[in-house]
Amino acid sequence: MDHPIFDGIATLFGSGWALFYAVLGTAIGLLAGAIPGLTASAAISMLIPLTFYLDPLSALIFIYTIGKAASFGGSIPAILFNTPGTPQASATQLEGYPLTQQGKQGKALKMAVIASALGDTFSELLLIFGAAFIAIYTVRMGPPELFGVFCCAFVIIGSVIGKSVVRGLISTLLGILLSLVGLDPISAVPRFDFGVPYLQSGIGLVPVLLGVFVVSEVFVQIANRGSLGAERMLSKKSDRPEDNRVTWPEFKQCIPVMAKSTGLGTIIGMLPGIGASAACFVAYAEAKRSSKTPERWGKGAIEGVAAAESANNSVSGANLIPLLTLGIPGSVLAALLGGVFLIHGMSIGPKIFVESKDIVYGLFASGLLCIALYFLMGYFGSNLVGRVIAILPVRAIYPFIFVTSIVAVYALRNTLFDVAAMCVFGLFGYIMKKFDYSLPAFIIAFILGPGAEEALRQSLLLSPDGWGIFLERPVAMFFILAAVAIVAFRAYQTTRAKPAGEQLEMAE
Amino acid sequence: MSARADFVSAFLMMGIAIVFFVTATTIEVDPHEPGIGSRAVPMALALLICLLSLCLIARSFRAVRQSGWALLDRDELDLFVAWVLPMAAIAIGYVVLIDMFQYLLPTVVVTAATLALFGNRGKTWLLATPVAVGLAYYVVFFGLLRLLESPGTVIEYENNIFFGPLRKLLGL
Repeated sequence: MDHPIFDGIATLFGSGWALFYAVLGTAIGLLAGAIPGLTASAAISMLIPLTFYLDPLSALIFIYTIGKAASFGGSIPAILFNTPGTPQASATQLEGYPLTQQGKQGKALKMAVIASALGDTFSELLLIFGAAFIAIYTVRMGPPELFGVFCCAFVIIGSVIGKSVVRGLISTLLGILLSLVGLDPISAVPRFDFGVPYLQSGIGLVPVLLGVFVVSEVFVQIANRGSLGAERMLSKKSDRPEDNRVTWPEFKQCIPVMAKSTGLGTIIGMLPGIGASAACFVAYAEAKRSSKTPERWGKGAIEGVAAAESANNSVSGANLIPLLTLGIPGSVLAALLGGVFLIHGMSIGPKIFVESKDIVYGLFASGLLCIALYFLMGYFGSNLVGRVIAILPVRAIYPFIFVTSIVAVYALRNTLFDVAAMCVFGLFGYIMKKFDYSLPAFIIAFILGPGAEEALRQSLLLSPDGWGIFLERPVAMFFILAAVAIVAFRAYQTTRAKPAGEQLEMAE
Repeated sequence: MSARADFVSAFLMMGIAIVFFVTATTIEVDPHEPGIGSRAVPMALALLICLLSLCLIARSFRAVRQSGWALLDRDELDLFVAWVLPMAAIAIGYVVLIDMFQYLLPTVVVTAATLALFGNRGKTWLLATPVAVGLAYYVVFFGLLRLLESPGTVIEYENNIFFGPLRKLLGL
């Protein structure tokens, strides 16, 4: 069977550095996901500047494998300490920790890694065999269609995540607005530089990412410092061998759950902005609802671990489908990967399958290798990782993260302006978190903003009818109307969710 | 999320949007340029943010008025002043100190200050660790990866004095 993935595998194994970074990225991702408070986004944001020194393939593989492995890594503290290492492990702890309390942490960890690997493999295969097929159609889309897709993506990102449609949309619009700082892409006129020469090239992506994801979390944790330092104790394991492994009847029992959850996670992963955190809860809720023994749930139902983990890991491959076919990231992690593509001079979108085919399929091959690696590391080494996390001094993690992010952002352009920008965005991100505005929506909009403006202005230049061009293009019209419908539906949903008397009530 | 938080944050967002809207009016526009020009999209976005912020204000106005215009959560404000502001001051101070004294010394000082702020105590945490971290980052980033270190305005030194022999030793 002649498929470019085999060339991708040859490219991966033909490059010693690419292999090295695949292994290193998997190990770092596993640890980063396992350390509560250090999310995959934060770890990747800190390491992006280091990828400048790497060749494009190694850089992309490094970042991709960190994100993939972290999705599983977050389940380790969720199961052992009832503290998810990543947001997408929040559903895993609901059944994982009760199993630990029964001495069955070995069973829970092994089920988590099996489900993660299976879900991830399905999603990766869909990416490998499906993305190029979709790209054949999306490459024909012109600026009006792309603008329609951007509108729909912004609306989904802004209004589907979070409780408030208005706050979500403000976050999205603010992200787009700040992305316009710099030179106008068509007329090269400076915009919003406020007399600062560094701003003429725009606000850098890395200072914003590090500020919003890393430094803001440092501010959040310093405000919560009273609750830091709570020791994590490893629970005693059961002596029975069957409590420390997944038996064949248990695995068979979880197959239908994993299949359904993988499907749900894959579909959610392809929708921009929703991400793994939503996928794990949707899959968990559905598995519980359809269980014949719902009374066991919440007390250590192994199917709950399987559902959550297969869903959250099946998001990672699916996330890349909209990124590579439309240039629209399906999640923050995909957005970060998109940033690495841009940093190395590759434009994301359907043409990438022609212009950088070797690199893309090399990346896909590294995804398969990463799954195999974190499966082995997780199956045999999760307990060791748990012991490491138990002794990590929590109060020292955030100062270390803070100092690392300073040097990481300085490494970008050797300017203190980037460091100052990161600190400002750190405070800004803290304020957004405190007031419950959506940071993922802000970041994804910040990344997509310039492309959306360019698509809009090119569309208006293409046609003598001006705005009428959107009426002449059915695909563009479809996506714009879908955007309007989604906002209206979400606004209706959130209005109906509040009983009339509580709509204006103070929460406290 | 409370009505008070909506009310306060909406004014903040509207303030940002107004600044951008006013600044957008100063963007140069070529009257002969086809299409919508450089100003249109930023102004439209700023206007939309203002409109949505007004929705938030309208939604939360009655509840805030009923509460007697209590806009600030005392506990949150105390936490912000006691911990977040000092951390922000450390962050900005770090930038200023690097500009003055180059990278190494400010890193040692700021690492110690941050560790102390997070509640770490003792010579190991406040002396040994900051020195080790500062030196490690200095050697890795400025020595081995050859990151450019700008001269300080108060203390200025050429780090090649330390790293030249090290690189020669390692064959870099």
